[in-house]
Amino acid sequence: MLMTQLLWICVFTGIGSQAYVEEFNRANSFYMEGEYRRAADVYERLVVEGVEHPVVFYNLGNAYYKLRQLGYAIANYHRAIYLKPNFTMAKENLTTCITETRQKLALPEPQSWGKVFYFLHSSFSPKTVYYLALTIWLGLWAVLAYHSIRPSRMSIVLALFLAILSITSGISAWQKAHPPRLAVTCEPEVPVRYGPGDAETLRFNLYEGDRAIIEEQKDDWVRVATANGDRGWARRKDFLLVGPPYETRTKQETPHNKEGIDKQ
Amino acid sequence: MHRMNLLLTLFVFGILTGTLPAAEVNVYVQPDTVRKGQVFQLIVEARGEQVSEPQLPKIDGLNINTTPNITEDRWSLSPAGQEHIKIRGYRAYAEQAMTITIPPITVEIDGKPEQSKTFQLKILEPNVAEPAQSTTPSTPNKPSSSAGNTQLSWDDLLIAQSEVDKTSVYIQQPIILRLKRLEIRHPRVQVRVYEETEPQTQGFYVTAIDPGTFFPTTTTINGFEYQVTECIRVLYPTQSGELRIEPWECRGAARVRDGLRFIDNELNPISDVLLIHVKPLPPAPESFSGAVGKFQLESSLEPRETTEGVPVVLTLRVQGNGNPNAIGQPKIPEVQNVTMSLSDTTVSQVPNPSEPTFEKVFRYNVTPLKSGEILIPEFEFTYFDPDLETYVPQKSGPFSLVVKPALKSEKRFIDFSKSQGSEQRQVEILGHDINPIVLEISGLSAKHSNRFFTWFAIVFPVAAYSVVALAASRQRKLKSNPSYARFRLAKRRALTKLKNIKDSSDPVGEVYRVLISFLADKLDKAEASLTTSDIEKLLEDSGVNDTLRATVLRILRKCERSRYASASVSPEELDALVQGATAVVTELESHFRSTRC
Repeated sequence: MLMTQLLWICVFTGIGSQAYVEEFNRANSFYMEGEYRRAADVYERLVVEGVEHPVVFYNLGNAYYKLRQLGYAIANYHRAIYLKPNFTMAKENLTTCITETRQKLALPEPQSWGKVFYFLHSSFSPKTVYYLALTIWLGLWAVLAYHSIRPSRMSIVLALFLAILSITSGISAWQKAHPPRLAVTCEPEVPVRYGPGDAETLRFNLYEGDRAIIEEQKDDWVRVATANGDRGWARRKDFLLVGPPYETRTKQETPHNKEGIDKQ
Repeated sequence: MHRMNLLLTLFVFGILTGTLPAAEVNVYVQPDTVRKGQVFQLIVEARGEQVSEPQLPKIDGLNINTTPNITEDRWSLSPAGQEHIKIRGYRAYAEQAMTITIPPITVEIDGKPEQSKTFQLKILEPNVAEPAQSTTPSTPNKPSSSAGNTQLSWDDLLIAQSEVDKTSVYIQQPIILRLKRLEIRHPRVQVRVYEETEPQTQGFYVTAIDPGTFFPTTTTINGFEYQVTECIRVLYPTQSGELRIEPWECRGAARVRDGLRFIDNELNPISDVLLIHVKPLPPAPESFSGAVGKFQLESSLEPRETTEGVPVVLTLRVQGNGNPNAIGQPKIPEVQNVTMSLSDTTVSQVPNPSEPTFEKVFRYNVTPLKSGEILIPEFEFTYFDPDLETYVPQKSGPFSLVVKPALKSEKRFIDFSKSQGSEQRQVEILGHDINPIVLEISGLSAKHSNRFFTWFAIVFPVAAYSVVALAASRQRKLKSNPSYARFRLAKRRALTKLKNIKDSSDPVGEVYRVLISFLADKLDKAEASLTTSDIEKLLEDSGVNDTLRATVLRILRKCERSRYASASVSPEELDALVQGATAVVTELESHFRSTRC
């Protein structure tokens, strides 16, 4: 507990970054030595501490791939790509993982209204989209202020253009920060039923690494939809949410209820 | 899990009510026509007040699974009392085409053993046409109401089928097995398949055919449309005799909309057993490679010119429809001063819509040990053609190779045994099927909530714009409206002048002018025409209180007296005058502002 507190103090004083890098290097060493479970544990601790870096997720995905836990590997590659959409190595590894799944299900498509924005921001990181939206927003008000000092037709047109752009980029940034609740099956076989309950009739099965959108949650059950339009209810514990927020293998860990990364 | 049946119980699109008399046992088969190897249902239906489980006897010529896959119990009330209808369905098949006598099947009904009628079941050969129904009724006890083909049973919603292109083949001759899954397409029915089992094929070598781009087809059976999903397997018998392709199963679920409610049921269709007669191959020649089917041989030698000690590649391609794994290495004749070693063998599927075709490629390293022209003689590849029922030889080559003499310095040996360990390790590291981890990282820090920054970034520009817009609006009004500008700027001008009053050559007169000018600006009057009496009237009209008005007039009159009486004013008096004027200007400013608003 004390270590956690110290760590958080370090974070705020700027020393934390170095501690994270050391932990990252330690995880890399485990990986290179073939101790994939320990490597995955250390990478996951970084994630639990709040580190959101595409490389950490990518390496974590690799560690899980080596452990033949395809579901966790796929979820972490998705996280890496979400944070860095042009992360080619992660994309390639994700493709490799998908080809090794039993059903090779496609990624569920975004909602129809969201497709427009999806194409706008799919190649940008959430941070880029966020700062772009803020810049456009600032630009809009700067142009309006300029127009109030020196009114002109040009500034009106420019302000109108920036207003449209601002709305678009604002929705895009919001959507990017709140992606669909994509989840990956982490169990070898997950029965999906017509309703939430073990007594319900089996509808279809999902297998490890299959991706689905979580549409609704009722207690311990979630309604999932796959890329080919199949819908049904399955147990929540059988899925890992891609996020954000980022779940880990143990799922209940947060920066506030676990020990510091220095403690093994 | 209870299963429902067309002939017996809840129909998918309606309810069929039975018309059997009380205490009666009926036995029949479904479907009506049964062929050799085909899996069918032997159905026992008993009716009475209290019905026990049927006692299934051993039936010669039939293989019966005594665990019923259809179990249905219905109760209904009739004027005579409660009626129990017990239905049991057993999977069965016959290995021979023959007529089988189904003996009486005993069921205890209401404490008494009741027996079904004996009937003859005719098992047909797979390719024999169905006899006319009127002449050979195979299932006389079957209720007539079930014969209609416009209604569906649960078993009709999902169908598993197995088909082969031939039933009599030679060893290693390819057989195409089509596993078809038929799912009904109906607006009131939703079918989901969640598991399929492969058929057991003991005695066969099996390869799957890549279907390429998948386009499900549709077909119509009894007026109902089905979506057909097909998997193709190529089977190569590895032993002669009678081989069996066991049934394959498909597990799924169906949901049927019946008015406002839904009925769910699990489905478990099963395909037929297929029997294959496998003949042995006739005595083979020496050059027989093991290939059975139709094949073509192609060969090439690249390049045709080389240097002494430098290998060239001899490639042999065998393409055909037979088992690629049964194709042995063609016999290469020995050539003097040349070493030949097999370097690589690959098997791949060749796109061919008409039949599954494979290609097996053998690559040899041909290393000449001496310079000059070397002739590699033709070589023979023999396969067995099952259609012609004979062995077919194929020849390829010869090839000539021009070998140049090597320089002394180029003559070296390649030792594969050394440094193999380190190279193997390197290969392992580089040969990962995924990209390696990233070791360098920058900007690693915990993410903090940027909600405050976001709200600040959203609100700040709006607030800043409001300030700028207000200021700009005021500036524009000051420029465009002189009376507004005079009113707004009057105090500032007056106080500035009062502050610098000591620099003036006529400070008292300046105080007078400052006050007159201030009042003229505030009241939007011409400064030159104003007198003290005018000021008094104007202040009274403006609602200035008596005290303030008196103070203003007192200051103005004092200034007038000092100016016109040429009386000198001491610095203390001037200071008091300026202070009084400053106070008056401030008070008047607040008065005019409040009254203007």
